[in-house]
Amino acid sequence: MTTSDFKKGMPLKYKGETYIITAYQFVNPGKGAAFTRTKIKNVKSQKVIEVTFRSDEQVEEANMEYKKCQYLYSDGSEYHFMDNTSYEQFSMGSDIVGDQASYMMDGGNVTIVFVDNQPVSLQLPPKMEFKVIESPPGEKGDTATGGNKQVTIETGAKVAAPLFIKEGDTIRVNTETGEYAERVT
Amino acid sequence: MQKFPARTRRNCTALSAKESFEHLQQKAKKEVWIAGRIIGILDDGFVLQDESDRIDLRRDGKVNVGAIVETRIQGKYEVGDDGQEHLVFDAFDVEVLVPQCDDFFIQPTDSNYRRAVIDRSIREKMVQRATVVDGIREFFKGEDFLEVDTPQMVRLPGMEPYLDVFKTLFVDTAGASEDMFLITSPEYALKKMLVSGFEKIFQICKSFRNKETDSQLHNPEFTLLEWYRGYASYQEIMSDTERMVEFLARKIYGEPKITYQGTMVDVAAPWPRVKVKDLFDEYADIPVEAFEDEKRFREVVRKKGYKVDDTTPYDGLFFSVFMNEIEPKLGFDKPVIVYEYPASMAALAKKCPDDERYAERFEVYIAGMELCNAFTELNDSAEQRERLEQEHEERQKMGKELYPVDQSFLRALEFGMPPSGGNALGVDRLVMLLTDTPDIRDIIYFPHRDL
Repeated sequence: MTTSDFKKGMPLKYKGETYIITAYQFVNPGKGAAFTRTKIKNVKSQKVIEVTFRSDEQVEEANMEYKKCQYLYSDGSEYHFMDNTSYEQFSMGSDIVGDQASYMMDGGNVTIVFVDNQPVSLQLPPKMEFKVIESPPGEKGDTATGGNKQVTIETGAKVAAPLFIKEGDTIRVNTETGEYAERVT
Repeated sequence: MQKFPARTRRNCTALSAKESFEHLQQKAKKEVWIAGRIIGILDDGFVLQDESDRIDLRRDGKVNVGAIVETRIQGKYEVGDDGQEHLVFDAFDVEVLVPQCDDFFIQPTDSNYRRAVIDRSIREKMVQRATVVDGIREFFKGEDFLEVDTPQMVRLPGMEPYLDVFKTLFVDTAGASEDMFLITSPEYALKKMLVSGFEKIFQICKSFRNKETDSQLHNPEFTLLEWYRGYASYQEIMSDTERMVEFLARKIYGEPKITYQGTMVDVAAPWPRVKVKDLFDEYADIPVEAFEDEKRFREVVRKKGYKVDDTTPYDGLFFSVFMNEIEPKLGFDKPVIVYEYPASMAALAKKCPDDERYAERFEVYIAGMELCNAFTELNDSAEQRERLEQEHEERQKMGKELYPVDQSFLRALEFGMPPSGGNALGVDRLVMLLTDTPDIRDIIYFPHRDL
């Protein structure tokens, strides 16, 4: 593959090791081929390095597999999952799961990305529906953010939502940005 | 009251109401009216924002977030729960000038967000941006330069093989059409003005480079500053660049220092000047003898682990090392002037008189960011013709769209352009550096992504 195939979360081989792209941007010095500057994370050591690839350069792909899994529970430091096909159980640390934990429900389905048979990242649907379990009453709100307020969804996470959202409403949340998308009911 | 009234009773801004309400109310003995958008609801009122500021207003009764209203206000001091006196305002006669839209809840990621509610930090950046542009004009006018204006739509674009051009269709009154192009820089036209006898000129204009998206450093439509000095070389341009950036830093911060993403950069002139070949030695451990011998250079780059082979063009070798090992480290204490580029990488620059393998070109790096690209301009029309033809061939090899070599530019050089120096400097990047903004899209009000 080349730099035009790059996406966040995509695995690649670099100097014999497997990395995940965590950030990338296009840079063109204008007097030679364009480049793509990346931050890539080593799947074994979790170390992040910065590498700049030439646009015409062949970048080695890494073997990646998506597996449908079930989120079982968290013991505080590790998140435990089960592979829906093999029923094998495994865990991932909070350094990998990160903020996505806010949108995982016990028993819920998630897609987990395996690189070289190692779980490296978690993919939630881009938008998910949650019930609002707590919403400050009436039209009180945080004035600085222009007409919205903090509501709590069933996973316990807080989301900035419009003033008209009430307890018991179901809302759709953008799991990448953590932002309210729309009201479902 | 009529819907969408044309006139308002506003006679005061939110900011001046807060700062001088006593004077307004008592001395002027008149009603004070303010107007703006309701941006939030309070327990006992609402928050109004106009361009000057935000103000909390107390009022019973329902108002809608998002509506643009005018209201009469009265301020007074009240002792709060903390025992301190606070200035509070009551709102009376709230009149809706423009009703809110049905679902006035705008995500910060929505491109309409900036248009609906001024984010005060972005407004501040727009003020600073204007200060930088004013400052550039002030600097060059102080140096007795003439500001000029040359076309952004041209018959033939620049030839740089690695730039992609925007094409547009021109139609004349009779209906005949012709391809025209948006400039990648105003260079050709400004050089034609040097030929005519203008000696100190500058232009601030939009330039266009296609395919440059997905980046914090590029916007396909961007603002470029170019200036040229006749009877001068790139030495004088280096000094202009140093003095201009120092001038702007003093104008904005009151001292020749800027802080960019946690790094303090001292921009006081003069700046260190380093030859390209010495940079490769210093940062990438490539001795000058290896840098100057393409075969050895290729081998060293390959051994470092970069994916290069015998077909990789020279600048592919150069930039693989430069972008990975050199650029990210340049210009963190002081800006760095990087000069004397390999001649093959400077099609519009004059070769160094003492070493024809290099050309009189320089770039400036501040905090790891390229700011500008400058030359002692090539004024030998025969050599310029040859180099443009080489670029034409290179475009052909790369499968890029081909344009004829611009004969009017070469013809102008044949008439004679005095020895000159010139620089092309990215104004957006300068604004980023001077406002500590890492993403170009935050100092352009309508970046391409949000169109």
